Amino acid sequence: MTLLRANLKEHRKRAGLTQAELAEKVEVSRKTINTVENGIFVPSTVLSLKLARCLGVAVEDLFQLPD
Amino acid sequence: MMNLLAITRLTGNILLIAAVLLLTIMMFWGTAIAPFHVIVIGALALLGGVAQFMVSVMRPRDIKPAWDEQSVASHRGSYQFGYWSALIGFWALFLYSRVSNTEVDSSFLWVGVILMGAPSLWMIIATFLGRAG
Repeated sequence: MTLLRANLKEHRKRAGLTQAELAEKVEVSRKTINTVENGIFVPSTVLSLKLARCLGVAVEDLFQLPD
Repeated sequence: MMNLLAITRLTGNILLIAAVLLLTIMMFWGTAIAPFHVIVIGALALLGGVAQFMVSVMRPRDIKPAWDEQSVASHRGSYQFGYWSALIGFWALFLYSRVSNTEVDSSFLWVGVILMGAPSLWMIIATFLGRAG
């Protein structure tokens, strides 16, 4: 069961960042960015806010509850 | 590309599991487990921790990515796995010692090996599944 729907990949690509570049900006591993994008790992509130701030979007633009 | 701290952690875990596997193979070849074997495995675990500490000091920028929230979650999972492995292992070995010629002392040493090896095994699998480091 998917707990979260992630649009992280789309926004990351729109910002012109690789997974590694985004990972470095928010101080996590590239693997974590990968698993968040694929909906395998649910990020904490803090990491979600960091990602949103880094990409210049709202948290709700990155993550939604599944319908 | 994994960072050096994550690589050090993975290497330490692999070496420890390799020692456990070697000990298991030796057991099947007729070598009885002895305190020395457990001390060697414990020393490997300790050296792995020291190596990680040294790398952390040399490359502090590697700390946050290597211990990000996903790695911490996997690490917590490794302790849970270690607990249940040791608990099941204890009862299995205890009951086996009751119905066989196996000495309780040997069972005690094997529980120690399970306690040290299970978390490392979990972290190795988590790393290769992309859930750590």
